[in-house]
Amino acid sequence: MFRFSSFRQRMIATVLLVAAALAAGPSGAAAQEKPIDVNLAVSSTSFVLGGVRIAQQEDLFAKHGVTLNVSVMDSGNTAIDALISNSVQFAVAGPPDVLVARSRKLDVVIAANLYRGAAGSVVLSKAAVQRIGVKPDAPLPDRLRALKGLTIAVPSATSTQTTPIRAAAKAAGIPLSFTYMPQPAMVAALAAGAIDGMMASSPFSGQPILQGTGVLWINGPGGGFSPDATPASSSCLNTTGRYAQSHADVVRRMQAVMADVATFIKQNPDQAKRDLAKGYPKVDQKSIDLIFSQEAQNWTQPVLTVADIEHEIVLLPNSSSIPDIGKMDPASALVMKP
Amino acid sequence: MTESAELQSSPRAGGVLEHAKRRGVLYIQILLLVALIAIWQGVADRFDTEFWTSSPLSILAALFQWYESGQLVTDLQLTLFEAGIGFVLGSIGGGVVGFVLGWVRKLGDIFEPFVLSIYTLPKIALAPLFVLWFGIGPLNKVMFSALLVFFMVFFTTFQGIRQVDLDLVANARLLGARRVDIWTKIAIPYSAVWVFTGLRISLPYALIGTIVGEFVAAQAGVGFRIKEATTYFNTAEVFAGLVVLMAISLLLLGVLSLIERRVMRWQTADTVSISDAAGTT
Repeated sequence: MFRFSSFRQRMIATVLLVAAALAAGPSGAAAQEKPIDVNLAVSSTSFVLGGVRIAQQEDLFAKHGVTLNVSVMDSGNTAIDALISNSVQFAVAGPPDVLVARSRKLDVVIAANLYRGAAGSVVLSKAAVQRIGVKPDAPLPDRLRALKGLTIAVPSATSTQTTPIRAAAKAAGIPLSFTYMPQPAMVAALAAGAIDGMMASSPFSGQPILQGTGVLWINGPGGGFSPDATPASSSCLNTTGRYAQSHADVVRRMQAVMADVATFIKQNPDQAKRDLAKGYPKVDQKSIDLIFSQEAQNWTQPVLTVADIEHEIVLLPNSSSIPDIGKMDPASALVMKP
Repeated sequence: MTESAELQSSPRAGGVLEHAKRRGVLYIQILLLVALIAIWQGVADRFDTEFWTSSPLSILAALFQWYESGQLVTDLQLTLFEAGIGFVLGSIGGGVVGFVLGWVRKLGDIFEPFVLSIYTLPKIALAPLFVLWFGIGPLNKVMFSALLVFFMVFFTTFQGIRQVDLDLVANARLLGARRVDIWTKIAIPYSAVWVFTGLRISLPYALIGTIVGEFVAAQAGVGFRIKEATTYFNTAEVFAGLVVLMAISLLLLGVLSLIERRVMRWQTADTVSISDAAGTT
C-alpha cells in the first residue's frame, strides 16, 4: 500500500489534489453552461427583425446561454410550417399566421413580441400614381379609394403586411385585389411595372422610393393607418405549446433576450443604431438613421396582452378558411406573462 | 390445331380476349383505387391526420365549396388557357426548331451545345425573372409553360428527324421527289412517333409551368388557390387543387391520345400481342 513517507510528500499530494479539484471545477461548470442551440425560422430579412439583429450584435443570446441559428423563409406561413414540422424550435411570424394556425388546431403559441404596430407601408409605382390622379398627401380615405382596381402585392393572405391595408379598405368599403410574392421580389416587380403597388416593411418599402420608381402612399410605421386598422404586432417569436412546456427554460431565456434588447435600445440608442447598421450591412446609413428614428420604439415592447390578441382576431378576414376564429380563447395563444 | 389455339388465332376472337383482359385490368384498378381511398379515410379518422394528409371526404367537401364559390370554373378556365396556349406555343417552337436543326445537320451540330446549355439550366430559377419580363398576368405563365414544353418537343423532334433513313431519302430524290415531298412524305411521318412521344411527355410540363408561374405571382388560377390554401394551413383545399390538376392532366393526355390515334392511324393496325403470337406459333 502506498504511504506518504514525509510531511513534504503529503504537502505535495495535497497541493496536487487541490489543483486537480480547481481544474475540474470550472470545466464542470462550463459543461453546465454549455450554450443551447436554438433554431429560428424567420419570415423575411426585413427590419421587423431589427431587435433580434441588435441582440445578436450585442451577444445578448450568448449572454443568456443561447446559440441562435437563423434560417430565412419566404413568408411567416412557411416559418410556421418549419416550426410545426419540428425543424426549428422557434419561428418568427405575425399574429395572423399564428391565429390561423391555431384555428386549424395547430399547437402554435406566441412567446414574445418583436415588433409593435404596423411595420408595412404601401408604396405605389410612379406610373400608377400618375394614372390615378390622386396626390400622396391626399386624405387617407381618398388614397384608399384610389387603390381600387390596382394590383397590390402582399407577402401572403395571412401576412401582417396584409392586415392593415385589408382592414382599412374593408372599413372604407373598397374591394382590393392582391397578388402574393416575397417582399424582396416586390421591388423589382414594381420597377418593371408588373404590379402597381406593394405593401412591405423596410428596407423593401424604402427601396423603390430611393430608386425613384415608387411613391410612399401610406406610411405604416409612421402611423399612416387608423388605430382600428393597425395591428398590435407585426412580428412575434413563436414556438409550439408542447415545446414551451417541455423547454420552459429556453423560452424564458428567449423572452429575457427580447426584454434585454428592449432595455438596451432605450438606454443606448446610438450604440443600438450602430448595431443595426452592422446587422444590415447592405442598407446605407441614411436609411438606417431614418428607419431607426421611426421604428426603434417598435422593437422595445416585447409583451403582448390578451387585449392585443383580441384586436388581432378582429382584424382577421371573415373567411371559411379560418374556422371557429370567433370562439378562440385569446389567452391560449400566449405563453408570456404580461 | 386445338380449339383454343383456333380461337386465339382468329382476329375476332383475339379482339374479344384482349377486350376481356383490359376489362379485368380496369376492375382491378378500380378496386385498388377504392381500397386506397378507404384506407386513406380510415387512417385520417383513426389517427387524426387531417392536417397532415387531409382525407378524401374533406377533399370532396373542399372541392364542392370551391365549385359553389364559383371560383373553380374561373380558376380552371384560366389555368387551362395558360397551360394550353403555352403547350401549343412550346410545341410549335420546339417542333419547328427541332425539325430544322435535325434536318440541316450542320446547323444542328453548331446549335446543339447552345440549346443543351440552356436546357441544363434549372428553369424554375427563371420564374422570378419571368415576372420582370412578362408581368404577373397570363402571359408570364404562358411563356413559362412554353419554355418547359419547348425543350421536351425540341429534343424528341430533333432525335426523330435524325433517325430518318437517309437511303430512303436518296432513293426518293432519285425518283424525282421534291424537297417538300421528302419532308411531308418521309421526314415528318418518320419522326411523328418521336414528336408525339415528346408531346405526351411535355404535356404535364405545360401544367407545371403554369402552376409554378401562379405560385410565384398571380391573382387567380388553380396554382394561386393552392398557394392561398397553404397560407391558411388548409390541407384539404391544397389536396383539392392537386386533384383538379391531376384531372386536368389526365383529361389533356386523353385528348392528346385521341389526336395521336387519328393522326397516326396509318401506323396502327390490328396486331396480335407478342405473347399471343408466341402462344399460337
